Amino acid sequence: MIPEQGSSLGERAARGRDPGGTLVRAAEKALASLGLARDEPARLKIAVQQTLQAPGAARVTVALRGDVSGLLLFSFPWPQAFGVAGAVAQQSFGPGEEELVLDALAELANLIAGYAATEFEREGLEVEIGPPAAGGGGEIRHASSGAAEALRVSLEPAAGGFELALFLNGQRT
Amino acid sequence: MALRVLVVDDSATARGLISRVLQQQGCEVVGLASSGAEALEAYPRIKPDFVTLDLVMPQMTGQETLRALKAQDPSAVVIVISSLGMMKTVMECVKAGASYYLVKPFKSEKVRAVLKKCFPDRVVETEEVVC
Repeated sequence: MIPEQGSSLGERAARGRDPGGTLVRAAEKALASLGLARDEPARLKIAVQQTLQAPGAARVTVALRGDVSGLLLFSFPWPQAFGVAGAVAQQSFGPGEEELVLDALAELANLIAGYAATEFEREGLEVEIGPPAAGGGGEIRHASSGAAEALRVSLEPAAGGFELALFLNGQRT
Repeated sequence: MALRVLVVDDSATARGLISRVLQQQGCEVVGLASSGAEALEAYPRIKPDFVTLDLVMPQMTGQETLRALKAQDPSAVVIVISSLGMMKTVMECVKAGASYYLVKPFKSEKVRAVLKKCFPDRVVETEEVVC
């Protein structure tokens, strides 16, 4: 469990908890299950920030509650978004079908978040995920009560690269 | 006669993928619902042989929908299809009356095996479509 309030990512890592590593494993598993193999290893970056700019990108957010609480943000540059969505939905999308693309990306986000929640359970952590919310880009402001830290991971499946960020709340919710 | 199914998922992508796999198995998709409320309205009207149900949905969750469906029809056959593989969640669903639990994404063979267990007299052993 991670009940310690206000603990930072660094402190959690020191206690043997690695939410970033769990997230990367979940994303790799989900992408592999869809046949979207990555060409390069994921790049892990930890950055402290309250907002994340995602202009010109399709984005999906998934709320996390429980021992790991916060927000998962998936950001797909539009040109790559079409490719990834097509691979997920097993069909091709063209101009004017952005809503369908966002729906497919939301399904991918749901899959990765679900796998992450399952991985967290194996580590003894109880995490619930909310339904994915998709949108067309802009600024995301993390509405947490505590200090927010964003853990960012770049993934590059064959169908097109994207980035996911985990904003952690300081408190269990 | 083909098995008739109501597919419940808030994602149009997931509804399409699930429908495709079920149709490949010879099932007839007689209804699509994007929420628990839609599923509860459609179920008595459509009277499907079984329901596939997502768990992570807005407003009414899959678990709530499952309990409401079973209250409406205790004999309803509900196959949960979710990205969540947590044992606690699986057990909750089984306890609430789910017939089977499949983790997304799933393979066609797995669906066939589950359908055969749910409907042993209607799913014939053959390489071709037959539910």
